This record gives sequence, C-alpha cells and structure tokens, in this order.
Amino acid sequence: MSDVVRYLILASSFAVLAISFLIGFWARRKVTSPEAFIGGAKIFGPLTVGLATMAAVGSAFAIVGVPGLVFSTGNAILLFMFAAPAFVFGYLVIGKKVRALAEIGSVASLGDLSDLRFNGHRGIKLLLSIMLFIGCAMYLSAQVEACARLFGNLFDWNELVIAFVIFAILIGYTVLSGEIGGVLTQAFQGLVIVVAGFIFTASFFVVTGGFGPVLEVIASSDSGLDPSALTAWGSLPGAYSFAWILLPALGIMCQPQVLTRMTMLRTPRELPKLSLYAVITNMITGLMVLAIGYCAIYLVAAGKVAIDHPDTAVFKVADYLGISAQLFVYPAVLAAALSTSSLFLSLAGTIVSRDLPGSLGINITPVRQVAVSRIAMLLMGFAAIGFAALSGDMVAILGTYGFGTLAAATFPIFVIGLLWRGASSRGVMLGMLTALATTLGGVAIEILKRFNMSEFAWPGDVPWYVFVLAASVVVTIAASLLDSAWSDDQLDRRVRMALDL
Amino acid sequence: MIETSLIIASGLLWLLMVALAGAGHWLAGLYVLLVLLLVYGILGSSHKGRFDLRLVLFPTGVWLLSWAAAFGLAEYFARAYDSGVPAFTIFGFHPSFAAIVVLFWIFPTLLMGFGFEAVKDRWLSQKQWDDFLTAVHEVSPDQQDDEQA
Repeated sequence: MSDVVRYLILASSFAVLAISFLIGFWARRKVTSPEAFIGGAKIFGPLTVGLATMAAVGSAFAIVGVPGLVFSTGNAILLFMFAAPAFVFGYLVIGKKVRALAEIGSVASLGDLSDLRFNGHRGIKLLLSIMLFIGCAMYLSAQVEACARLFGNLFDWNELVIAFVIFAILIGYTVLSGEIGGVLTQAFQGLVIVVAGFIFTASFFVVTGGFGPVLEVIASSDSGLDPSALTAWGSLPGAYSFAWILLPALGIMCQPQVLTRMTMLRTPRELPKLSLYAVITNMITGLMVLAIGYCAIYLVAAGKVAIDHPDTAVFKVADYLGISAQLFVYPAVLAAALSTSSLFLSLAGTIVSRDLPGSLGINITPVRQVAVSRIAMLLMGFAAIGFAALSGDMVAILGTYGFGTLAAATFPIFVIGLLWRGASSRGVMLGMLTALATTLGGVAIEILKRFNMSEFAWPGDVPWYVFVLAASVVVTIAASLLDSAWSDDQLDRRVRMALDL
Repeated sequence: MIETSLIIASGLLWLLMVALAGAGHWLAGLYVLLVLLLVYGILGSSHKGRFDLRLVLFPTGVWLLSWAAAFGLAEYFARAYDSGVPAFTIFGFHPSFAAIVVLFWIFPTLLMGFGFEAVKDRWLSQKQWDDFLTAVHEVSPDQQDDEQA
C-alpha cells in the first residue's frame, strides 16, 4: 500500500471522528438538565434511534470480529448476525412496558428503571452496576482490539497508544453532550456503516462473481480450507451454533444499548418503525460481513491474499479491493467501534456517578455527577485496554463475552421483572448474585485456560456465559416463588399500570 | 396464576435447554429455545392480565415456525454433504447455509419488521397509550405514598 493511499484512509477515518466530535459539540445545546445529559431525554424519532441502536449493537464485533470468524471457522458466527428478528421480538415483548416506566419517574439510567420496578432496592442496583461495569469492560475491550487491528494494519502503531488516542477523542465528545450527543453520533456512525455495507457488497460481487465461486474455489484448490465450514454450522462444535443463536435471540432485548434507547423514543407507538429501521440496517450490515468473510475465504483459497490473523481479514480484503473499498471500510470499522464505545463509556459514567452511589445511599449533586462520570470513563478505558491485553482473545469472542455478561445482568430485572409481577426483589437479588458469582468464575476459568493453568471443559463445549445466563434466570424464578413475603401489592400502582399495558 | 405458570414453565425450559446442549444435543436445545421464545411471546402479549394469542400467532408464531424449518433443513443438508462440496448450491450457498439465509435471516427479519408495523394498533393503540398517560398522571406520587402507608 502506498503512503498516499495510507494517508487518504487515515484522513477518511479521522473525518468520521471529526464529524462525530462536531455532532457532539452541536448537540450540547440540547442538554437542558443533568438527566438529559445522562440519558433521560425522550426527544428522538424512530430513524435516529433505529440507526443508533443498530450501530451500538453492531459494533466492531460485527465488522471486524464476525468476518474474521467466518474466515477461520465458517458460517456459525453468522447465526449471531442473522438473528435480527430478535430485535423486533424484544420490542414486542417488553418495549412498551420499558417505555411506559419512563413516564412514571425520572428515568435516565438502567438503575432508575430498576428502582421503579423494585421499589428502589439498593442491592439490586448495586449488583446491576457491578455486572454492567464488568460487561462494559469486556465489550469495550473488543472495540479496543478492533481499533488496534485497524491502525496496526495501516501504520504498525503501538496498541496502547492507539487505544489512548481513540479513548481521548471519544471521552472528549461524550463529556460534551452526554447521551444526547451519543445517540446523534451513533446515528451518524450507523449511516457510515450502511453506506460502507452497500459499497463493499457491490465490490464483493465484482471481484468474486457471487457466493457460488467461493465454494467452487475451495473445492478446486489445495488451500486446505475445510468445505464443511460453509455448512450452516461451520467447523466449530455445534454447541457454538447453539450459543450464538440463543444469545441474540434472548439477549438482544435486554442489552443496555437497546433498553436505554427505548426510553429515549418520543412515544412507544413509534417502536414498530424503530424496529423496522433497526432490522433493515442490520440486514445491510449482515450482508456486508457475510461478503467480507466469504471474500476473505475466496482470496486466500485462490492464493491472492495471505491472512495471518483472522481479525485482520476485513482489512486485507479491503486492501485487495482497492481504494474505493478502503475509503469506506476503514471508517466503517472506526464508526462501529466508536458508536459502541461511546455508549458503553456513557453507561460506565452513569453507573459510577449515579447508580452506584445511589445504591450505597450516597447522594451526588448533578454537577459533581458529570465530573465523577468523566473519571469513570477514564477508568473504564484503562479496564478495557487491560482486559483486551490480558485475555488475548479475538474480537468476536470478546464481544460474545460482553454480550453474555450484560444479558445475565439485565435479564432477571428487565425481562422476568417486567413480564412477571411475581418477580420479587429478593428473588432478583439472588439471581443477580448468582450471575455475578458465576461470571467471575467463568472469566477466571477462561483466563486460567488461556495461561494453560486449567484443563476444565464446559459440558458439551457450550460457552460459559450460557450457563451463567441460565443459572441467573432459574435462581431468580425459584427464589421469587419461595419468597412468601412478596406480593405484587407492594408495587407502586403506576408501575402496575405500566406492567399491565 | 397463568402468568406464574408460564414463568415456571420458562424456568423448566431453560433447564431443559441447557441440559440438552450440555449433553451434546444442541440441536434439540435449539428447538427448546423456540418453545421458550413462544412462552415469552405469550407473556409479552398480555394486556391487563389477558393474553392476545392472535398477536402471538402473527408475527411471532410464523417467525418461530420459520426458524424451526431453518434448523431442520440446515441440519439435514449439513449431514447430507458434511465431508465435501455439495451436489448443488442455492444462490451460490451450501444448501445447509441457504436454509439459514432464507428461513432464519431474510424472511423472518422482514416478516417481523413489517409484521410488527402491521399489528401496531393491536399491540398498543393510541387510546391505550393515552389512557395510560392520563391514569399515571392522575395518580400523584403523594397519593401513592398514602396508599402504601
């Protein structure tokens, strides 16, 4: 790659950063209160929220991690990307109840929603804060890895330096305008991903002639690539297909990036339109990552490109396709990483400045909340960089860890709690304690395995987070049933109305 | 009462699903997942304690049937051509993966997206939302505190 091309790509990537920064700067005028800064503004329409949600859920996990896994292990990870109907299902099942709760009190965070449903139970809020913080670190580490791969592929820069630069810019625009700027910049970044999706998919068809030739070139070459990887389940054990269908099917509806956006919509009657925009843009992203993954397989099988690490597949393919693809794919990767990172940084800031102190009975003034939030974002940045360095996993695997942990943290509160009045505070608290303990156990085992200090194998090769999720759900239900002191009369009458809606 | 029974059923389905997958029967676990999604779909259709089964049947029910067909066909063709290149392709894909592309991804995504818009009023009418807002704002927090006291 020539220096001119390299700097053109750098310029297009930084254009995304600069525009995001300008949007954040402009959006600060809309911040009229601390609640609006943190996420309490119900001012957005379905297109903005749909694009923002898609971008935040998609993330670098989708654009860097998924094609990498398609290249190395076949189609199984695409099941995760293709589970878009689960978006709609989530809105159908809990959407109106979540949005209705936002009418009852000041809802600027997930902790506020939890307070309403569980009468301000501090233990639940504390556990939710801790679990969300862990999940945020994992998810952010996937974005760190992706950014490192991007700039590492261009300039061979140091991973730590890259992470520091990206987080500094991110924190800069996130602290200016909070969640309002966050939603608007994520919507813009979603648009960048969609445009890149169209351009890349067209390039794929020009280069390969379609999906058929990919299968043919594998069959006719001596590349050593496994044709069975192109079956639905890929070349990994079937348990991965199971986990990668289960996780989005049940987990999308309780991901923070979906839940928080529901409360920011003007009215729940716009949720069907929001889900339509979210799934159509998600389909375009899905088509792009499918095309990138298949293109990588095709180019390697045909001996045209060498890919040393799966996470570099997207960049190697873009480099082969030429400047038109490069100028869109690199910025799309950055946009995907930024959109998710800004959301999780805001979330971490909110947890530390609002939810965590609230759960401990500490009252922080709104002005101080913003200062504490900035420090929390910095800490979260360090935690994410540390986790990425320690785990050494691929982007997609890190993303699934984060997704699973966040689902285990939120499922008992926001799915069981909203669908069943019988979910008691103590039941949910026990379910979340189980989730926390099993998550820490699961992560510890994975890290021990990474350093060859454990040979533990999960039953049936099912990834650990599936067991965490199941344990938290089952304990929540069982403990609530056994909690004879609980009656739904203890719920605020307005909350009962919201659950009845 | 029905709500609680459904939640208990969901807990048992979670256990069954994970036990099956842990024992190596992950495909059976996926079919249990579909039943679990159906249970959540029924619970989510509830309005003032009444379940709306028409809302469950469309679009959720059709989506779940489509996924069931996708799993079955994907497994059938994966087994039929598991060790090499298939005898035929669909849209250039391995037939096992083509089943996923069509019946797991494109058809159910469009079905759910446009289907939700089609049943919007049944899911939440403007009147239901307005009534909720009126009722919520009529109950002031002070009134609520008095009731709880």
